[in-house]
Amino acid sequence: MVVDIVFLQTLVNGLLQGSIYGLVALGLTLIWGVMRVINLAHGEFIILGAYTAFWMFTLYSLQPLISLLIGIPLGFLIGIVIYVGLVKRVVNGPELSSLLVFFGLSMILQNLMLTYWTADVRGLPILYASINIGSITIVGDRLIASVIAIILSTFLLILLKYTYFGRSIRAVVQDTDAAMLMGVNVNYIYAMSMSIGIILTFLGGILIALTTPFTPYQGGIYTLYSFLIVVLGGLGNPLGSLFGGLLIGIIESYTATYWSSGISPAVAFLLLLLVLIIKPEGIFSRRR
Amino acid sequence: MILEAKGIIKRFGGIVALNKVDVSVAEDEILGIIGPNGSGKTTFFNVISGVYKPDEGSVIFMGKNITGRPPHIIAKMGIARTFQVVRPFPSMTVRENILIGAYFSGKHKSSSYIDILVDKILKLTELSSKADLPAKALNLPEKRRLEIARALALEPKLLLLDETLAGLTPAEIDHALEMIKKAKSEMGLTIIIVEHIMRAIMKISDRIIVFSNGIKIAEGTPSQVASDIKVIEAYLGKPIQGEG
Amino acid sequence: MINLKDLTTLSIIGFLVISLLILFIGSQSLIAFFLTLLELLILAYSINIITGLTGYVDFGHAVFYGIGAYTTAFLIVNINTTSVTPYLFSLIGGLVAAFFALLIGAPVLRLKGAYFAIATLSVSEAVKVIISNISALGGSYGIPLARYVSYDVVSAYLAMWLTLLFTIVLAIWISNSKFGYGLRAIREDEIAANVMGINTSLYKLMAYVLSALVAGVVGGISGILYVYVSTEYFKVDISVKMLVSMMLGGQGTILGPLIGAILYYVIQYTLVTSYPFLHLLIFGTILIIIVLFIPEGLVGIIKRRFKQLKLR
Repeated sequence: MVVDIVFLQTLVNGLLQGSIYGLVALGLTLIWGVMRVINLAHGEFIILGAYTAFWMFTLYSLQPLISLLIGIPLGFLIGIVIYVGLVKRVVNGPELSSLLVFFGLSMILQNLMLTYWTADVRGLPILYASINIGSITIVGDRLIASVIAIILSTFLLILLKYTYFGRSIRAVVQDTDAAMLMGVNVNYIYAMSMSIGIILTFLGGILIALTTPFTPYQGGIYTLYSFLIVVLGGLGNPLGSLFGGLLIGIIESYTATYWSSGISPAVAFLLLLLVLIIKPEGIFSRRR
Repeated sequence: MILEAKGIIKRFGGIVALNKVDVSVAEDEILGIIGPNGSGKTTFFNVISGVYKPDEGSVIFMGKNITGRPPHIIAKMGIARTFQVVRPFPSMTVRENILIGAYFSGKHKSSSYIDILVDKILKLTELSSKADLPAKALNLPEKRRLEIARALALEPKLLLLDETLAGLTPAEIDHALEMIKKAKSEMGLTIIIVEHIMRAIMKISDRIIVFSNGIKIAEGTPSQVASDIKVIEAYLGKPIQGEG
Repeated sequence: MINLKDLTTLSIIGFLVISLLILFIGSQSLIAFFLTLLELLILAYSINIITGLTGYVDFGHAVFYGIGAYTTAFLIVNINTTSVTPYLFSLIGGLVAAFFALLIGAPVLRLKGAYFAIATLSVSEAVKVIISNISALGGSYGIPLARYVSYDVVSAYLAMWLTLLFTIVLAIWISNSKFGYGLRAIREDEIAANVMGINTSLYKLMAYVLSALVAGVVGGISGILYVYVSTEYFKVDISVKMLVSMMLGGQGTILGPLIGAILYYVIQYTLVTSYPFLHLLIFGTILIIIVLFIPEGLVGIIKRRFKQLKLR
């Protein structure tokens, strides 16, 4: 019976972590899917969000959940600035350009964070009580973070599916020229997608601060995990990103429990390679 | 028969782009293929040149089965094609574009032979004066000629021309047709030409095939095809009242 | 009237001669300066073979550098020969790297654009993590080589210089050959290249394998030079360094990697010494500026100037 509990506990942990991964991947799939630019600074934005939660709590005793509210306008602003300043110039250019531009951005952000906030490991203290169901422990902080991630993701999915704005975004993802001919202001959609993408990423970072310790060096691993999830779920496919996130969360959890936590990045990368080679449109994609 | 395509079926998801298509091409003839948009003409070219693998059916070229073989092998075996939307190598010069065909035709030729060949083709396609310009600097009719020039450099037996006259003025079209005929006689080619411009394809083809919705609905000389009721319906649609 | 080809020949011969002379008449610090520069140059030429010529952006090229380094280190530790120079092992390191490229090249080169870039990055990161978990290869501590080889700048310099010479000759040969034409056609338009008779899959793979060979050899030499090999050799910073140097100079050209790497190196050197804490930030800014405003690199600018002069 002991094995069963470990198995279930691992599953629970994986699902909880995975829902947050899904949220941050949503931000990436939006940016990548809509504008076809590869945001290699994705992880750094997540860490920025995490730091926001940290400083708001440490300096002003603001609960992370309140920080979420701050995160929205802050993320929006950053998104618009990045779009107008950088993304707009590389949207229609060769891929190497956007790759390098965002890599440069990730270096800048990482260096800024290191300089002003040092490489010390940061984290939030445990804020919420844990729940016990039988012998399974559900860590309170993780549960709250997970619930919020699901709420935000659902919100975005509803936005995409049922509003004119959302449909415009989906039109641009499928066929930019056709969308333009249909009267969609592509520039506006690009800017909005960037902003919403950054907002989601930022909020994801705040939630991550709630559950895990972090340093400025961790951006890279989150970036690569997010790429993996986006590719798994299908580029520009939000629901796919969510399922991909859960799947990765579970895989990471089981790898850490039954093998070693050090090896889980390698498992993730190898999985990414496999998916790219076998079915680059993603496991959950409906298109052939 | 230099080319025999039998029973070609090509599907894309739920759409059948080519539905049991049989096409034979005699050596030295100019075969024209016409049909409404989406009737499968370019798909047919893609199957013959190896860009697509047919789901069923076979393609025999000069006695050899080329079904599903990769494009570069088919090119070396003697089939060259142009693209509907021109695809020159933009940063390379006109001369270099043509050289690519000459280098990779699979025929081992000396560099002097290649130089002579390239100059001959430049003259044929009237691009000699532009030889050292990058391909992206050319205008549309010139790019069209470059497409053909590049294909000719492969010294093919069969040349596939895909809507090579679209966007040209009537005078340019006549000019292009003359050039195609000249290239054919000077280089000993069999040609399959896909076109929308009726006047042009009627003028140059020995025989015409009509596609509609992925099947061959008519075949014959230009005048035979022109008066075929099925062809007219395919282009203009069925009459509104019942039959006839 | 000087043209680009003459300028290229002049610069290359000039640099090779000067860098060789430095070994004999330069000061310790100058030699050290050039040594690292030589390494960067070889890496820039290496990635030029795949990314510069075919347009396939290899974001994980450091994996070949690292494999070359680890193979060499492993051989040095396990094969005790005092009569054979350890640099021979770096050649084997290059071959192992090339073999690895052969294995993963076929599936990975089927991917386009960004997917290829991410795939190569994933390979590099995966190998890094896997190696750091293998204790026989030193785990996360790496393989120290002090017991087996001594720190010898002169022989390392010669090894690097010879490798650079070989690499440049290789680059020139490729550029003027049918192979090189084919690679450039692939970059311009892969489908058109295919119907023109170019076996694109084979050509891409050959370019990838050759570039891996070069990177592997220089990885081995570096391992011997620094008397230490670790998973640091797989860092994405190294892959990006190569890409940026190549881009800065002008991809797909012969002169490009030379001037690009030199410029990059000089910029990086001054930044690291003047702003030890902010250099990454400044460097990231410069990277962005380069990418946005001079994407064809210095050679592109030079070509334009020549054209202007010709037209006058």
